[in-house]
Amino acid sequence: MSEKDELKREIEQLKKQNENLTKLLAKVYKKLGIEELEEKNKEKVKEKDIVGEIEEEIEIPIEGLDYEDEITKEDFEEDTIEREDHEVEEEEEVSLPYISHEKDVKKEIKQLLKHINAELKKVMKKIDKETEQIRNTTVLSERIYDELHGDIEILREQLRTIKFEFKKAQRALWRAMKEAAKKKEKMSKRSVAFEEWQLTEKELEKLRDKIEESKELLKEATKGFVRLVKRVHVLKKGQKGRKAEIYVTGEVNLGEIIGQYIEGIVGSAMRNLEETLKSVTPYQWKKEKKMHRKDDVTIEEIIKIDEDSLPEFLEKASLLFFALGDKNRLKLLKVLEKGPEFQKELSEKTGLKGGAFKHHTDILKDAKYITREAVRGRYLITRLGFEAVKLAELLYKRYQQFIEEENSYKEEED
Amino acid sequence: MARYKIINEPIKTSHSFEYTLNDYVKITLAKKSLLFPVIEKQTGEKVGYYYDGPMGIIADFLIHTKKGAVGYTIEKSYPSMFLFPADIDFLLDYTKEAKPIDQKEFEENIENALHGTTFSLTLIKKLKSSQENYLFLSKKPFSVWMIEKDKMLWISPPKIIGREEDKKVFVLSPKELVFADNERKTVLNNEFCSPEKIIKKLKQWILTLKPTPFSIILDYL
Repeated sequence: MSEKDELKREIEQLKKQNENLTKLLAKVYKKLGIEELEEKNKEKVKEKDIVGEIEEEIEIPIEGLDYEDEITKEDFEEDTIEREDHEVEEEEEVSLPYISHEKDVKKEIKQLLKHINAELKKVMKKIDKETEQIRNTTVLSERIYDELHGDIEILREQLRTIKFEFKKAQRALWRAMKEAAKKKEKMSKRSVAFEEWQLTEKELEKLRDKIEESKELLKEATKGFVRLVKRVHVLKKGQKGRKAEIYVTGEVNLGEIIGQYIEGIVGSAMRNLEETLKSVTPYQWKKEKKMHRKDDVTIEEIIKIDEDSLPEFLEKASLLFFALGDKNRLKLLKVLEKGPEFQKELSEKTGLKGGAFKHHTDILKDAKYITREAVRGRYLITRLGFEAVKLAELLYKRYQQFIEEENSYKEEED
Repeated sequence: MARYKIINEPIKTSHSFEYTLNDYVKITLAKKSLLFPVIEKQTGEKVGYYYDGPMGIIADFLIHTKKGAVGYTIEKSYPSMFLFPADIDFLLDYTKEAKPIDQKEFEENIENALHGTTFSLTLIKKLKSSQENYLFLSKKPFSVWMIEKDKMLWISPPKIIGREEDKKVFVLSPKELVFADNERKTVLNNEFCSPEKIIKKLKQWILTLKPTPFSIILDYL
């Protein structure tokens, strides 16, 4: 059987078990004289992620059932039951109609508890069996995974409700026992009635012990559920040292997957580079800062051209500077520096039209300062074009600085 | 390769035309070239066409960054091509029915075109759901074009080039990986990023998906 089918089957069985538990609790309520399970008294289930839910549930396995609030025999004897919320207050009107039919009640209680225990044991056994079987890898479609997820959530809600009602039953029982204790005091004088009360009290204590046992079983059932959910989660997401085993297939998007993967590599490489540079060259960076004045824009390194490549340099360099040597072309580059443009917009922004536009763009294309998309036809500035613009700006700033210095010398002479 | 077959019920292009698929890709088909349907054997469903004629593709893998454009335009031509899905607009608009060709010639030249290739039914069916998704596959030279509305991927081993809208582009070659977004361009040589490793990862990723969506790539990666 595939894992998908096994998971589904397990969920359905747990659901059935939960339903049985619910019915049994309802019967217990009846016997204790409490109102039947009503949906309007259920807590609202908060929406949480599976991960968050798992983490929370592992720490406090049973939500709605605080073990710290557990009332022991000592609390009962001291008569210090705390009333926490309105649901508890509603239960104060509990009466004890069963007291008059002691024998019948004893029997029924015994049978009920037997049944509850048997059902819980069955649940535990099934969970153990089926979690052992979840080993093989499988592939789930997103739709099926969402369905499973939905089923798991329904199961979670059911369990939560049952736990809450279980706690309610416990409290009801404790109330009943408290009432019994009160009445015991009143009837202490009548020996026969007192004996009856003693018997009833004992039975109630036994009932309480049985419910405590059932609570333990329910706790283990919940843990089993948590383990199941965690296992599905681990199977899907993987864990440290363990690969994911369930692959939820969605739509194929090869480009996106490759792109994301490459982005990840690039990002980590960039980070590594940055850190390496910082750790290796901090002194050099400080040194460089000292070498430059605030307004110094000189180029520190001059790349030398060897004799063999001089003719080509002369030809190409003159072309490159010729391409920059016109204000219309500089204007084109400055506009494209901000972003790509269609011909129409570029023409409007630069004031160049028709033949003049083509003339200047052709020169810039020859110099590889701009390029054009083949499909949409937008113009883009190239990296070389960007550097050329920056070089022009640098020269302009140096020119301004030079002129200022010259003027200041002339003033001094005067 | 038992899943699909080409049938001798061609259609032909009524005239040569140029068709723009989206903002980044343009194709050209020649006049009076035949297109043979590719059908899925089990269902008899037409999934695409085998185009027996010269086809040109022009694609812009070019984006603007803060320091200038990165990428380039690719212009390729192919002697034949598989086209998916079957209900591409231009195939309906610019083609008409044609007579089947000589059966012997069909068996020798056309029918065998599927040999040595495999396709993904999942991928092809996904293509069907949207009119703006295309898959072009050339056997010789081997080339795969995956084109969506705002994304594009071209696999021509050992190169893989991708583009996403006007935001990202990457070029993966044996020498280096170039990746650019609107902020910057990054170039990693083999020391930092081995294309072989990426291709290996890609293979592993492909193998984890069932059914295998792009097994044709595995043959060449």
